[in-house]
Amino acid sequence: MDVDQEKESDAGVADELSINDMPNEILLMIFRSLTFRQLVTASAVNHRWNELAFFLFQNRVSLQLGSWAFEGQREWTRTYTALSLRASLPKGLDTFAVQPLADGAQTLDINIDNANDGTLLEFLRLFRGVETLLVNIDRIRLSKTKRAFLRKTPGFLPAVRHLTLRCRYVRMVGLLAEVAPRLFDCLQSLTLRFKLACVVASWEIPEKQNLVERLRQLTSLRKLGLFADSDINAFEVAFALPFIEELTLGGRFKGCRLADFRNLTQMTSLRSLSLAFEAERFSMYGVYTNPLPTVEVFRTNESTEFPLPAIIGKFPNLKVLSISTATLSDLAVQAMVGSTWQNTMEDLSIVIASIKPSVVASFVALQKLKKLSVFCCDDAQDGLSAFNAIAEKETMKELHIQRLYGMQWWPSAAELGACNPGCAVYINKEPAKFYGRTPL
Amino acid sequence: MSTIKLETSDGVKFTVKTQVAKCSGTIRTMLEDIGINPQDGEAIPLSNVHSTILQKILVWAEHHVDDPEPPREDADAAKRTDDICSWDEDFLKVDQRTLFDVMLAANYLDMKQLIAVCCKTVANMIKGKTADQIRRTFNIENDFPPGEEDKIRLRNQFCEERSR
Repeated sequence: MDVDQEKESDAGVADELSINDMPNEILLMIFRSLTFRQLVTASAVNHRWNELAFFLFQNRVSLQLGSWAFEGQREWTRTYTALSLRASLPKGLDTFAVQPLADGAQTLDINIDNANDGTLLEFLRLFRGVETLLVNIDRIRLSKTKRAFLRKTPGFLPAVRHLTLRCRYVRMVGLLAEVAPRLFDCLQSLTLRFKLACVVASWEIPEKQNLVERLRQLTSLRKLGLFADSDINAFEVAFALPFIEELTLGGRFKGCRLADFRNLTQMTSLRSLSLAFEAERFSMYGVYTNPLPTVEVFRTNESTEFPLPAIIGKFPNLKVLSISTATLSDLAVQAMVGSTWQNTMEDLSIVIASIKPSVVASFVALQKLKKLSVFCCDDAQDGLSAFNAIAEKETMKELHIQRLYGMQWWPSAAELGACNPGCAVYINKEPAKFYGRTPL
Repeated sequence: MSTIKLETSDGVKFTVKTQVAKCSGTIRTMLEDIGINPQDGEAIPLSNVHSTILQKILVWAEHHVDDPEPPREDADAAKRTDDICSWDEDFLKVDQRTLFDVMLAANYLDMKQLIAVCCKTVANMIKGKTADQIRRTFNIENDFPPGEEDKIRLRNQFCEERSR
């Protein structure tokens, strides 16, 4: 770090010892206790604080580019790894002025109403180091005037590996493919957020087919995210891509069923499936047929019905399961005992109705369990000691216990005193105290 | 119970229980690794610590001598500043000069828990204040060239925390 240490004061005789006399490591330790906003305020105190604060937040901060960024001559003395664009690009963009800022950026998030394609491409061209690009533009005006010129620019967006598009997707995909054909060869993850208007009005079969054709050529792509409101057919695009390993599906739906995704079985490389629907009613029923043996990770954020036995049948080899809203009945939890999960499950995060010995025994039966996060619904004052048998398991590395309603437990783990010392216990998000020692 | 002698920068000698003295990582290293033998009656020189400050630090060490080892490094615990125990809170109700003297000495003596609680105390003094109020609280000079502070304020206004 390039910060001058303050001169040491003469030992013991300094008349006014102050915070300025603290060495950098102590000031940094103080700053680490501040929230992001407080740290930003502290950075305006003086030169030294500014340097130290920026040292701490340079990787946490995203610089928002408004119209102020393009007005007049600016000196960019600092490197921001993340930039976001929130204002329309000016017509006569001074690329030389923006270049120093663009050089250090690794993440670029564009979120604007409309753009002219030529200006947009000219702006994007500056970001040779950007690895993650997010584009959310309602309307792109196609002019074709500058595209011919820009097409000749070699190495357009050469470093992008993760791309998220939320716009007239086909148009944007087409535009990028035209100026940066190699961009798509290198993509590792792609997220497409279809806009409602575009799905209803122009989601025609040829377009879908075009998109599938294009996506099929992305041979390095492993991660795909598709968000489509109310149109379950949009997900067929993903099911036609057998090389995808991680898939996220989401969007707003009135109601939908996992059974509608029967073509998921065509995805023979699929390891991880995440469902991020905002549905009033998302049903997991009707999944009994066609198991997906390759899937090791399953996460879902919303579901009103969650028949665990059916999920076990559908995903027999799960290592990671995370269900954040549905509450499992005691009986459902017990379905894990004797199931295939007994030899595969490593990381489990679920909401349970109560802490009964039979429920705890169902977790203990999972032989490879390393991490367990339990959200408990009942507010009975059961002792935490029920969890002893889990924390004692040799495989366990992390145990999180949280109560959703009623009285909170105190984060004292005297009751969990006999745990295996390799297992960290968190109660209500806080590390349990006296953990791993003889209870006092 | 074994004791050792410590000598401060102003030549004052303290006789301290070994266990209490070992709250200091620096002294612990001297005794255990370098093999200084306190039974010789020779005092360990602490040339960077004044007697008034050592006295204060020993009170703290005496109170916390039986504390369990802190759990592994935890970024979340460092973030919290509302978990200072009331004894420490009273202990650190001192003028700034003493507070920073204690911090420097604790740093020299390598007393991580004491430094941590001091840092949280100072962080609490920073919280909720504007840059100008912070300057006045700690008597810090604004050394930005004219106009520079405005630029920083403008830039800060457009900084947002990245979601991860």
